[in-house]
Amino acid sequence: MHNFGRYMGTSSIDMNVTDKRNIVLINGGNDRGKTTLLTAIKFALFGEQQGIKSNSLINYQQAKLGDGRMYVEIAFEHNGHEYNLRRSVKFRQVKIGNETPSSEPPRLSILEDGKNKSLNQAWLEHVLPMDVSQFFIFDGEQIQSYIDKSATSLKEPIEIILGIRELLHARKDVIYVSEKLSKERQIILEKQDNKHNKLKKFKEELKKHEDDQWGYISSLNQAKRDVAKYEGELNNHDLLKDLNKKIKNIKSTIEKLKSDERNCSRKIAEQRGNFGFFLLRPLLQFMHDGESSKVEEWESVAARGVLEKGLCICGRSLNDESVRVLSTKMSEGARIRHELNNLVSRISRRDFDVMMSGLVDALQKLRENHDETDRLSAELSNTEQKMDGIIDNGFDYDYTVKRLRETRGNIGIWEDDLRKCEELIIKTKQNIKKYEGEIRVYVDSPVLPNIERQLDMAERLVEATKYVVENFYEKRKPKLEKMISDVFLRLTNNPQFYNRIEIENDFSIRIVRRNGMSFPTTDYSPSAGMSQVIATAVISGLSNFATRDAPIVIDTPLGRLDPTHRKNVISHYSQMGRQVVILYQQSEMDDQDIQIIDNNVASEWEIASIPEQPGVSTISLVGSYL
Amino acid sequence: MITASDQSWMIQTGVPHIYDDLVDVKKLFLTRYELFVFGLVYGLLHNKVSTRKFCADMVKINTISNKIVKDIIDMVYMLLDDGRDKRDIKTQMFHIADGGVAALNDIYYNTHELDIFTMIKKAEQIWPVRIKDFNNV
Repeated sequence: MHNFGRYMGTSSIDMNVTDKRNIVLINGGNDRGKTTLLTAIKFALFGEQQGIKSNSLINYQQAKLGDGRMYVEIAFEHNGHEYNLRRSVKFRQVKIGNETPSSEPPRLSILEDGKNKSLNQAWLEHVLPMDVSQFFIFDGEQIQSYIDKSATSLKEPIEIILGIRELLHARKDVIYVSEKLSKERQIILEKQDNKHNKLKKFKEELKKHEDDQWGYISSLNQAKRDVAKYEGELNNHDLLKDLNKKIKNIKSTIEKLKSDERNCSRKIAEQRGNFGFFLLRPLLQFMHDGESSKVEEWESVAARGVLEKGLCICGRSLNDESVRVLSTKMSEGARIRHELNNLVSRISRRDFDVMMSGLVDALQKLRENHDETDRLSAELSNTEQKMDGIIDNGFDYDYTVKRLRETRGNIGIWEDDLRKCEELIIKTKQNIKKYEGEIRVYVDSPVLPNIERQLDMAERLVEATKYVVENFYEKRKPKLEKMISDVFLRLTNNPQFYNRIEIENDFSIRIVRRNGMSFPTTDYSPSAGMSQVIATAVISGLSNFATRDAPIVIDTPLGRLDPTHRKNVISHYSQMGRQVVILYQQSEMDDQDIQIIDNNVASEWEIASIPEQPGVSTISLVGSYL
Repeated sequence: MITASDQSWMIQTGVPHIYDDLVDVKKLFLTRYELFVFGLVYGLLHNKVSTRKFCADMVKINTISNKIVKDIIDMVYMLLDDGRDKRDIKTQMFHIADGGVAALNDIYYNTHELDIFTMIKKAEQIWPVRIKDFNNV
């Protein structure tokens, strides 16, 4: 040790032992530095891991003098090699008013056979696990706490000591591998599920898109039919408009024809006013041409003959009255005939041909008019029949135009939607194909079967290691129990009362009486001394059973024991390990006690404080017996 | 000389319903006296003489503005004038006109027309024979 705790400067202890003399005794009074020595060993081995604050262990007197270095160095042998382990701390001078020197973190250096092999704390942990060290390096005043420890805190050290820790590690590794494989398998299955789900989703989407497509197509077809219907209705409407217009024109023409007909009829009626003349004209013509004059001439000659002869044409003679009347009549007749001839001449001068021509023209025009009217009437009838076939009751032009526009707009939208829908269908089909391909790859891939095979193997290994651990534990535990029980029965002053010590599967420790009753040691504590005896037995049994060959360092081991137990325990020390270091004070072990192990002591040392420096201790060799 | 058309004789008829129909309804003639004169010539030609009593007045002859109508009335009157009382000739003339109008009405209702051209053709054949029945010709 160098500037460690109470030990200013460098102090060293030779702890060499032999098989026979395997005990090193270090004697020191209270507050002289025994526990500091125990702490120095722990510090060297585990640094600050056990709650040790390195700056609190720096020698204060030295720190007051200036900056310096504190270290603990242990030389030991392990597996045929010699090792030098040093853990050191640089510290700074203590300033006035500060009681704790400041320091850097501890540094560890390990030399194997004098050479730096880059060994570190992990290696050291492997040589002597910190949890296990509590059964090798311990404070006797606190030994009772070992059997008071909870089962959980004992579990790991006992597992290590029983040698199943590696198996447990192996099992843990296999479990880890198994879990990892299981996770990988789960991931693959989840991926597969994911892909199946996605495939399912895409198939559902495809169905939806196809339904949508069908819906759009149906809507489009319906809309196109509607458009055709509306266009037809509008065409009909236009046709009706045209027909109406045509009918109107025909009717107008017919009206005009009728008007013409009326005019024509009037003209004919006017001409009919001449019908008397027309009918009389042959007579007039006849009279004018002189046919009547012959008659007139004959009658005049006859009448004159009658008057001249005074005889009637029948031969009878005429009286005067008859002659006068005949003469008057002849004169009157001549006058009438004269007037008639004048009248005939006048009438005959009328332009018969012009009048007749006017009549003929008027009749011709009337006939043509009739024919045209008939033709137009027939056309009107045909047109009206056509209209009758077309007329759609309730047709609303504005509504139809609006619906046509809306439907055409909808067609545009639906065609666009249909196009998008078809694109989605193509895309979804591609996705389905892709995922089906990927799923096929998964199905065909050897990865999952390999993982499942490996997982199966790992699970079997987990089971196997479990079996091995349990078997190993079950086989070794009785031996451990026997060792602890043997020590206990040797140490106790009442062996006839107790049967054995048991370690439960949960690593709790029980004491079994002869009468078969058993109690957990945490509850069963007849006395502090008995508890210490049980603890000593457990520690001794565990350290003996341990696969590690480490020195036993006991600080203040016997404080609570009665003389009988003390004698028993001291007698047992030489059997506790290959190297046993006992840090004691005079009141614990007197000369008679030491006499018991006198033949096993390799060296004796004494810790004392320097009179002029009460805070500083030195350690010195009392005797070496090797 | 005073002609028939100079007289203020009222033309009378016994078939006013035919005038109503053919003139007012069918509007075949513009005036009743035009039908009257046509009936007069047709009756004279075919010797159609009505025996119906006159029951309706038509128009005074001297108020007729149509010259040719008046000339024809005058001519028929002269053809019929055999020295009798003028009123008798007038009365005969009105009966002949009613007979002619009734015959024309029958033709119209049978043929739906008054075919003047056919009538003229027949007249050309009948007049030379018929003319001998008239005293003054």
